[in-house]
Amino acid sequence: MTDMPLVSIIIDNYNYGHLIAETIDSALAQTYPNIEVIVVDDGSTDNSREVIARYGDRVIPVFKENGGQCSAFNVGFAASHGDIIALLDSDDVWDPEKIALMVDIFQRYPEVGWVGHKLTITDAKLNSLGYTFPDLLPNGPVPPDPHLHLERMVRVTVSGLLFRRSAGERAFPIPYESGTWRTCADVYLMSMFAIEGIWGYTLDESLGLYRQHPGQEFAQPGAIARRVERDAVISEALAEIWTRRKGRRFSSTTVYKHRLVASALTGHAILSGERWRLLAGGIRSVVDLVRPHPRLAVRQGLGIAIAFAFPHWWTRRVFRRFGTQFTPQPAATS
Amino acid sequence: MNERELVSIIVNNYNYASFLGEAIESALGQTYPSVEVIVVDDGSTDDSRRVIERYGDRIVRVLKANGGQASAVNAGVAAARGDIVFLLDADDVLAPDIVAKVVDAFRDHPEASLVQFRLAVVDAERRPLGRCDPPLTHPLWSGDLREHILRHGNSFPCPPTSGNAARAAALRRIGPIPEDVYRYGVDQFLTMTLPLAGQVVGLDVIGGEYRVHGTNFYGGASAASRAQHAVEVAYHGWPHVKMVADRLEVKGLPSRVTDLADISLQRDRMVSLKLAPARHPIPGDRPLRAAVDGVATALRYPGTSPAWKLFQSLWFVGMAMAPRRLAVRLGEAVAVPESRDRLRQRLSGLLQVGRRPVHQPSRGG
Repeated sequence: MTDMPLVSIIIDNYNYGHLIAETIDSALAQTYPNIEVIVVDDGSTDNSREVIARYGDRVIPVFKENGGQCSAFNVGFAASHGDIIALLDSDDVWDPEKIALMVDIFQRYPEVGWVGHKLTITDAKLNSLGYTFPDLLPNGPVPPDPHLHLERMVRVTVSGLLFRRSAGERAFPIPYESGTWRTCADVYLMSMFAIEGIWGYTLDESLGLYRQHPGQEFAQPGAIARRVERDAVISEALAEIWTRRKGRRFSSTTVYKHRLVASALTGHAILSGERWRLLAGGIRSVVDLVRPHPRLAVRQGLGIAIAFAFPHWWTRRVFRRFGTQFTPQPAATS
Repeated sequence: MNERELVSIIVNNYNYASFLGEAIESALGQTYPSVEVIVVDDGSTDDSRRVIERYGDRIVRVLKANGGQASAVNAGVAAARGDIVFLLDADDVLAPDIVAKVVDAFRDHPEASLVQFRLAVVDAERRPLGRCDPPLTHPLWSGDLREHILRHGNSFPCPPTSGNAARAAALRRIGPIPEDVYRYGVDQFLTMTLPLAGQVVGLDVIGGEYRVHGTNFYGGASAASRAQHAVEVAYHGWPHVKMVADRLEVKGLPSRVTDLADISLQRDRMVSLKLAPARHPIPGDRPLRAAVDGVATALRYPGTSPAWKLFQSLWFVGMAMAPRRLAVRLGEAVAVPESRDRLRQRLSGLLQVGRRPVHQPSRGG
């Protein structure tokens, strides 16, 4: 890699015309000089295209039919030329020195194929809420270990993910057609990198803002049950991919834990046959996990036992209150 | 292999102007004829650069902004042209014939990636303090130490940085050393990864002097902060070690550093947890867990007597349960080398328990 590799920033946008200007500005304002900014508009029906057009040739616009976040990144990746690709959702904002810091990491560690960092969670007006996503991220290399991804232990989000072109070429295109991979490009990509044996690197440092706002998919009513269910679907899809590619069985305890919670949230009978089936599957997957990650297996086993045994009204109350992540609440509102 | 291999001695210096001259002299004064001396100045703010100027063309100068010991060694390795690399801290001194001996050792052991030798411990004025590092009672290890590293980490008797010489090719395979983690204590990374790249040869000679003075990094640190730094480096360095192992196609390192049955690491972890829990570097760690791992380590540790195993196990359990004040006494008694020696002398005097643990490889090597 040369001294100043070209970095392609791919911004995916769907109906965030009121937010995207700040996002594009933060990408263009990077202190690192050698960048190209690709804005993929995923068939927006608002004023997004006008906003994008205002930037003229400072960005590379790509307009396409609606197909979801993953399809937008497929198109963006195909249009990019950089040695390093950085993804950015059109409602998030980066710190100006982010790309410079990330390029430094790629240059220091030749076998690292992707890098992730934390983002500070903010309200709709980009005021910090005082905590980050994820709250903790280990500092250092991440091994290509399937279970880290199947159990969703590496919690890097789209706007905090960068990867080398050589790694991207082995993961793209994302099979978005089936519907499973409409969103969550981050999870799919990191898991595919791991399948290819590519090391990652995570940084325990917030280098951008992660906006929470009312227009988001998961800000809608009933979102918690949908989110829990969607997490299960995605982990299950990952387990399938790993099983197919490696020729031996991979399972994810997260699938069963989340399904049990989701069935409680959507009001299944407490001890229905479905719940017993989920418990059986959960036990099998915990047994699979005992060898590679004994402590995680114990934790997940307890989680499954609790999700199975506790009355669903209790589960509902807990999840109403805390959401899917027990993020620390800011002191001001509690 | 060439008739006469070139040896690079990398002197890494940060604000040791008063000692640097002696280090450079000892590197230039080697009996072995084919030596290049590389002096890396890691952004010193004292007279170091003036000292370096004095040597003109006799040394290779690498002047850089401050970035820690790892960055200095990386810069030195990048500039080195030799086949064998010595790492000399600027406050230490090499014996005049040690390069010749190490070159012979590398010639006798073509598989070797690392040669280690003892250093005599001296004070600031280079007066011997009557001991060596590693102590003369601990035999140096030789052979293929991969199995040991996989289970017990680098818990074999290792000299300080200046007592290590590496084959440049091996150093390049494991490098560069992660600069943000190993700001101090490069030897921790080298003694963990170089044995994975080849064999280790322990030369039973005193090949230099290790200066203990008030401004050493560890000089005035308390037991807690000393332990904390060791755990922090081990914890944050572990993924890097695993990445290097993956590059060298060595399989079987545990996924977490706390799974290593490394007695000094487990001791430091317990001391750090009990004495300064707020600054403990491992998130979510608990004294009970540390005690379980500590006892398991003590019982599995090779080459130790049942009495030692019992004593260590009791220490771990006692530490985990002790209230803070007692924990401080217990921690200092075992984790600080000087007080550990005092305790051992007192114990053997009182109880006639003459057997001290003799660390030896599990297999002949």
